[in-house]
Amino acid sequence: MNTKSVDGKGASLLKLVEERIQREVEHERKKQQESQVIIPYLPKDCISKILVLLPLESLQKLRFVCKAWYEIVNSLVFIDAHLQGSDTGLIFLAPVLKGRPFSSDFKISDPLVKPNTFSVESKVLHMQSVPICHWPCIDPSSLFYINFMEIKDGKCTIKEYNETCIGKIRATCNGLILLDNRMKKEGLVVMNPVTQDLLRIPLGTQSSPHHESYGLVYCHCSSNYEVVHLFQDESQYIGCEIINIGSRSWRVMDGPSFGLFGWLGYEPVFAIGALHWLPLINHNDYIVSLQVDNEKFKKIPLPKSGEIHDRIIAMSGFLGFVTHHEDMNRIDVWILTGLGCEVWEKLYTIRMDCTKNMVPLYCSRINGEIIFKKKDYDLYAYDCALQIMRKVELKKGCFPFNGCYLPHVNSLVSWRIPAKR
Amino acid sequence: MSSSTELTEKKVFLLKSLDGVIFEVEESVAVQLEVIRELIEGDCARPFISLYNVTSEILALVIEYCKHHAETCSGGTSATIADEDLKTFDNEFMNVDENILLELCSAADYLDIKSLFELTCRTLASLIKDRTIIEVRKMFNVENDFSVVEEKAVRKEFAWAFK
Repeated sequence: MNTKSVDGKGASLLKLVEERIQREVEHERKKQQESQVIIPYLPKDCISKILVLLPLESLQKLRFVCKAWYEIVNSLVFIDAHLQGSDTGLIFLAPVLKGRPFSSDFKISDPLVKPNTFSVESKVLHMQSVPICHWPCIDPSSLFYINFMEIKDGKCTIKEYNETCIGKIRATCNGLILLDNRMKKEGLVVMNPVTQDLLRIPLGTQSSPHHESYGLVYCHCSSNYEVVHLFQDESQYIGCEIINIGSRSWRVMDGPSFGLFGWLGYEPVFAIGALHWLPLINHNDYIVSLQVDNEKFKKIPLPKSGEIHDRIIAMSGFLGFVTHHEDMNRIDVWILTGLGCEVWEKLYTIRMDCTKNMVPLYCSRINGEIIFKKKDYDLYAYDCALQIMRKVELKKGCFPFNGCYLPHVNSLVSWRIPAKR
Repeated sequence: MSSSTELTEKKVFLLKSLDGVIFEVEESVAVQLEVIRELIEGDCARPFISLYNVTSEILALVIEYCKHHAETCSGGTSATIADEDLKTFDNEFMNVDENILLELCSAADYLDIKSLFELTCRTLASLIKDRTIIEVRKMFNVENDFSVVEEKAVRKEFAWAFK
């Protein structure tokens, strides 16, 4: 710009204007830059991937960030990815009255439990529209908290769902649990303890508790969760019935061949598309498997006779058979990868000073540890990759060894929106 | 990398960022970008590739990351040492401004670099894990589009354990 002809006063004014314009331009540029920086747009896939890595406590809070995030968390893809990333633990019941002085019968609406506790029975009664004044009395000694135990790096953590129930946990699958519905002896309840979604299952064939067995399975064919019920009648014959969760009636089907089962006390294991039972208390030369797709029973020979402390467990999608060797310092782990040819493969040999009384409970899906209980007071974790067995640090009394516990994962799975595979 | 390939001339690719800056990278680095690897394998890769979604600032960081990972993996050191080295590098690499982190995550998704995508997602997850919902909205620049009534209804009907 030509300023030579302008006098001193004008020049300084012009300079001032120029500076001001420059400042404004600078300011505008900065603003533009800033607005460019502020909007790093993340596509849905990224948000989904970040959210799936969050612990449930954070996820349950942050799913309300906006509608888009809420929809991501509710989507099938997310629920499935979350299930795949969740590790196995044990779900168990802890008595509400533990350490409390005995009191007489109370109503389940009474403030005996911690505040904000979700009651399975209250929800069931509520769903049936039973007025509160007609809610039955419950013996407080039969009321339990539902808790979860996770083992990581040799330490155990207990998570409380803040939920109570009076029925036993009968089976688990992909984060769903099957509970007795003790309200007027009305069958069962299927529930996801994380999302607190629950559904009543009608009563099937009645049987005494020691002569029946329940399994919860996912059927790929029908994309449905199903409850399997085996029951033994007086003539020792074992019957089988199945119900699709959400349907109203049980389907009676051909049970296992007569004489295959001697005992129904071992909880079945769901793996490789079938439900598997150890059919005897001791000396098991075979397992009995129910293929979920064709609903046929099958006898599968074990690689060696299974003794009283041997168990089958689900292992990274396969079926594992954990068996004690005649030497007292050795446990072998066999796996079955499919139902086609049924050849067991020896995967690991665990050596330790004394393997006596070690009962395998489950295999964690993420860190690949096999969890054992020893007698009724110790837990051990075997790291399959590092081949190290170590004792789990356990707070005394935090886990009921003689109570009811089953392998479980915390998931957002629902029978309403079946997991996509 | 074997010595025979070192003797032959290294293949070089030119990557152009959104704002027009051109970066020269070797093939070992370029193939870590899955989008480019697909082009190379399909024999469709021209030496000059425009990346429309990545700014020069972010592309420079991405290339730095891929370079380090390519060098460490081909460096002939034992797997455990290489692993340790990458871990330290990754940790330092993630020590950046939050907005850069978000852009890196988006770029890793767009360029399909699995390890960087995992790394940024993990870092972002641990960053927001303990934050309030308001802080997270601000960080991701998203607005709460739930009405008060809607939010209340959804929270009530679909309550979860672990509150």
